Amino acid sequence: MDVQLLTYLFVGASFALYIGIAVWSRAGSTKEFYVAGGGVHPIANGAATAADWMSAASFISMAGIIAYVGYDASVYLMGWTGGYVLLAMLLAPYLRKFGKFTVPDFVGDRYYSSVARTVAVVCVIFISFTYVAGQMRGTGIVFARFLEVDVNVGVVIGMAIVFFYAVLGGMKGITYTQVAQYCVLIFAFLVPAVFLSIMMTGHVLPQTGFGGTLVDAQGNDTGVYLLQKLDQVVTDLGFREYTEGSKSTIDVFFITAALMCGTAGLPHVIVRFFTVPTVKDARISAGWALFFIALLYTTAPAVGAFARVNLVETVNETAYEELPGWFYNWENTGLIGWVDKNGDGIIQMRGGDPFAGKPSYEGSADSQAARGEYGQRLVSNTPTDNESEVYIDRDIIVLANPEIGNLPAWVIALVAAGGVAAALSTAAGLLLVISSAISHDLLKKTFKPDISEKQELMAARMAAAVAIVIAGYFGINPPGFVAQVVAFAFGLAASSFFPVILLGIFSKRMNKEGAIAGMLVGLVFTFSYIVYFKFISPELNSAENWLLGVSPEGIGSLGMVLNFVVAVIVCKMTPPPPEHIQHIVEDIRVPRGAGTAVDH
Amino acid sequence: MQASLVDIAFEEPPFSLLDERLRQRLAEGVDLHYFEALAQPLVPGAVGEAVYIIHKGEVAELAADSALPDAATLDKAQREGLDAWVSLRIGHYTAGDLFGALTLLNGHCRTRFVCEQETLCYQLPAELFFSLCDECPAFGEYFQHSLSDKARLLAAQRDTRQGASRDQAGFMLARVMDCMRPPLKLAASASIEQGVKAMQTAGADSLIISVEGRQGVVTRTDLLNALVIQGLAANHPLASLGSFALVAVTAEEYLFQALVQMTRHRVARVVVKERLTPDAAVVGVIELTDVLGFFSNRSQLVSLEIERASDMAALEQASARLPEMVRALAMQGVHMRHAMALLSALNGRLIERTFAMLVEEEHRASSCLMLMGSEGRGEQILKTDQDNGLIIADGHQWPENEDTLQRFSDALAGLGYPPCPGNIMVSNPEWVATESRWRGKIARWCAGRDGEALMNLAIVFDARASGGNEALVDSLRGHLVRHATRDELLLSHFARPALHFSTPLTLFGSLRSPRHGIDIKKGGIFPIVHGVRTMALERGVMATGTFARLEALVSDGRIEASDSADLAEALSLFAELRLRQQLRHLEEDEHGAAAGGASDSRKDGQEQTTATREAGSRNLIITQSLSSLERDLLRDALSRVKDFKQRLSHRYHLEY
Repeated sequence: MDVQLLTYLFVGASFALYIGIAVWSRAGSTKEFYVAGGGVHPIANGAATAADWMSAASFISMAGIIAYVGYDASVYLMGWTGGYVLLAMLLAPYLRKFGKFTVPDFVGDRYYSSVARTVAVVCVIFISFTYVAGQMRGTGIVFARFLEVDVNVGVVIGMAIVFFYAVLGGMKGITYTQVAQYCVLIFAFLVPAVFLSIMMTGHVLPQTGFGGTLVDAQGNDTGVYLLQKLDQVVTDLGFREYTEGSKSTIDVFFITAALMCGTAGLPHVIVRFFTVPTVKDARISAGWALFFIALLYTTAPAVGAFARVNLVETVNETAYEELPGWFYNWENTGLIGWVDKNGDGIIQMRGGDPFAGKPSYEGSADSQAARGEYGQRLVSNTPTDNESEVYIDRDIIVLANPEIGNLPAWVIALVAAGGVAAALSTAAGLLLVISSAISHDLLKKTFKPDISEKQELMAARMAAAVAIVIAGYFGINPPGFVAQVVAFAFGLAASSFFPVILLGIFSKRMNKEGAIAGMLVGLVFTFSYIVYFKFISPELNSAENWLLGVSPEGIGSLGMVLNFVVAVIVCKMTPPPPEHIQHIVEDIRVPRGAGTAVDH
Repeated sequence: MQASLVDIAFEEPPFSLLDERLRQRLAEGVDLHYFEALAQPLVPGAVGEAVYIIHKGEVAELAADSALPDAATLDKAQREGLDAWVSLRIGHYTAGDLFGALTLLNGHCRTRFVCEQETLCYQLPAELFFSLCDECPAFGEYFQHSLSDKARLLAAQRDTRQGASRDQAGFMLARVMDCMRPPLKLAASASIEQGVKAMQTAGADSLIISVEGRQGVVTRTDLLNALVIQGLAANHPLASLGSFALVAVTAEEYLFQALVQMTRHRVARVVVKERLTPDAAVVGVIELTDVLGFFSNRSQLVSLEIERASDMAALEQASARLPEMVRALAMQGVHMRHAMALLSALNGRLIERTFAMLVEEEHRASSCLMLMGSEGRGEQILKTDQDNGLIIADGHQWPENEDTLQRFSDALAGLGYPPCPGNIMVSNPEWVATESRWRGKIARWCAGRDGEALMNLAIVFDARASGGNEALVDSLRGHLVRHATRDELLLSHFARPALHFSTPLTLFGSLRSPRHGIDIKKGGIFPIVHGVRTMALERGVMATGTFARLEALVSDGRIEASDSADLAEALSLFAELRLRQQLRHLEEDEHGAAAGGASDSRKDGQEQTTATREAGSRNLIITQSLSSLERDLLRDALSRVKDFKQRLSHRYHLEY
């Protein structure tokens, strides 16, 4: 069967599955009144948490970044995984006992201050926005490819589906739909990885294949390690060595810490821990979720490496007209661009960008697209003066991987379904967080306490609609500074509310003066540092000018340290928090009287 | 009929909704008819054949049971605008108006249409009417809408009209003002002798005195006791004899609410005040005997029988009369909310009396029987499973309680309250505990949050004291509220079951109609009851009934008054539909039992499955068997439930 048809079939079937589960779980008239909700197994909950956690960024972009950047990209792996562990072990159990659903609610109540709450709300909204914009881009890419439309049209379709799915359909609230999504996405990720691993290294497990030696077409061991080969291939082409990092150790440490602490505050995953009824179940499912996440995260480096080798071998020094079909398909979605600088009709992959920015084409849609002499779409960007000729968007690596590796058509279709699943679950979760942060935490709790429930619901829906439109806009027009914005988001999260949450849980003496002063100092410091190096004087943005050698991506950690220090000092100089707050904080950590201590 | 001669206001709705072609068809399809004065184009029960569009003349719509006016009255009414007649009319139609559409849509006529004078009508035949509705949906919808408005009007009018008149309505709809006597007020310094004389002259049973601004009641019995037992002199002042803890009602309340108060507080009279504040003046008195005078049906004497019963056998006899009473209430069309209040007060007294008979005074003073679940909320109409528990005061010794409580549960089963399938009753030691053990249980359930824990919390939160030391229940529920109100996570888990069942509406908002019927408890009643319960828990509202909780939540600012009214209305409708279904089953069961001992030969297992199936089917409403009006109301009510669920889901973060 043809790839296109199979893709429709797989994506269609996965949607039918989600909707089917939603209908089935609501329709049951056989259920008891109260028991139905409590009966979710911790493994299922773990899988559902993993589906929330693993976004389009994890599914689509991470392996792509690793494929291109190599060793340096490991900060994402470590940062995001570490963030999850921090969240699951350090924060969630205590926040749970505090009895507040959202982080702003916790901050507002713990510090008995609506200023603190508002700062937290703004942080939550900002982080979620950045995240959801990334998801929209990912969804757009998937739809663009499988519906054979432009990536921008793909984003719009994705927007509509996510909005319906999360806000109108109410399908988000069903654990088993999430479980199904996890199953689809993990299969979609693992199957091609296993195939490629067997084909290239003879190992069934991609994780071991990553460190294994390559085999030739007949299955004989060549004795060359995958990574050895990769290093050699990329250095031959003028790239940096794949396994060699470019960042200093201290910078890697700070970036990882900023990502960890920033991620630990990701609101849509915290919420997931709250939907598990008992503490015991929450702990077990957190463990399972870690296992489920690790399945994907440990496979990603292998996928990146396989893809890079295959990509170079297939594309480099090949005549445009002899390329396999996937190259043209992706070119049509606008995610591959080729400028034939030396006019030989053969594609050269070399270090450095082929032209400035993302490709922008002459002519618009497929039929009117301006074509060069070999049939390639003509790019209007100014070419650079190096030898590099081809632009391949990192985000297509995972999706194109099975095609590049010549895998069967159904695997390609499966990956499309997986990409949709990954983007859908996370984007929907974030969208809900944004809408309730705006309608509940900001509007109802802070600015307009007298609005009715109906108005609040209306505000939530409008906020979701506006959020998705803005996110969609950034998905269609990714600003040149996506990476900067992401750094911003995580850095600010780490430097603003991570210390506040931590101190709020573990120090009963911490008062609102300390918390607010700490947040402001952390926030202002991190904000200024990033703005200075990324926007005001980007030319100074290099290791010798950085404070302590920390890049703007990692400065959030430093801001966090400052936040801690300032908070503790200010707190010592101001009166302690009210009696009842101290009691609550004590209650959170210390088991209650013997008769009631069952939740430990 | 020739189209050019037809004079219908096509520029007015609903005809303005039709296009030129359909208007033409309408004009060609109508016939002109003449009715003389007092003619009745439609009578109750008539099958509709046409829609009438009045060309000239006036038509009144009357309730089915109202008497037909004679020509003289009518004439007088026409000339002088007789108020009595005008208030009798449900509807009044003049030239250009149409009537009879409701009859067509409903299948048969429920009211009476009387021509107040000679009247000319265009008759639009049913066939043509329906084909116009089909071809022009807006035209059809017009009738649907005004239909549901009208249904409400009809119900409201029935309520007020019947309430005002003793003759037309049964006892259930009479109001306090219809029955109360003026108070006999005397100075507190008056002597016993003066009091007796005043009572004699006025034919009263009680007097109202005022001491230092507090009002009190002195009864004949009080005076007799004072003279004979206490041996006071006839010139002793009344002041010391009065009882000042008065049970009060207002004049606008239903009479049976006064009866509910008397039953609940075990008094033989209540005072009527303008407002229910301590300092409001007493404007009347209602004696139990006066209320009993209103009883038209022997079944309504149940409450008296319960009070007078001296042994279990007498209680059983009284209890057996309850279904009969429910049927009478249902037939009189009493508002469900009031029927529930009355029945739950009776059930409560029945259980309380049983408790008092079987448990010694010493233990009763240091323990409290809790009625829980629907009994606690006061929302059961027919007898339901026993849902009860017992709190024993800390430090009170009652080692042999198990036997006594087992006997109590058995006695309740004898009264017709089947044992609770979930074993939530005092014969189960799990549901009997000391105060501090109860607190421990509640803390455990709050932390547990699985299905069973949440159910137990819900049950206890609905608990109402029925016998024994009532303060124990209040303090326990207070403890629960303190545990739960601030805990958003607990509230979120607590709220979730309200969304477990889908609302039986299609994607486009119309009513689902599966052949086996829709489950009204899961689709309608439970979401409202549980959602409102969650909000009450959030706000620490201590009322137990859903209606009372809704009112308290409105004054608390938690919900809008209009939303609260909508939900209350929807809940009443569901309860009414369910009650009708249950009564039908009850009748069938009785017929079945009468049919013979065939069931004896059945195996126990089979009986079990039949019983379970029947219990489920009691909540199933076959929508096809409802009239289109009822379907309309049901659809409206269910869409309210759907909206409510969305708000719950947002407020308690259930969409994640």
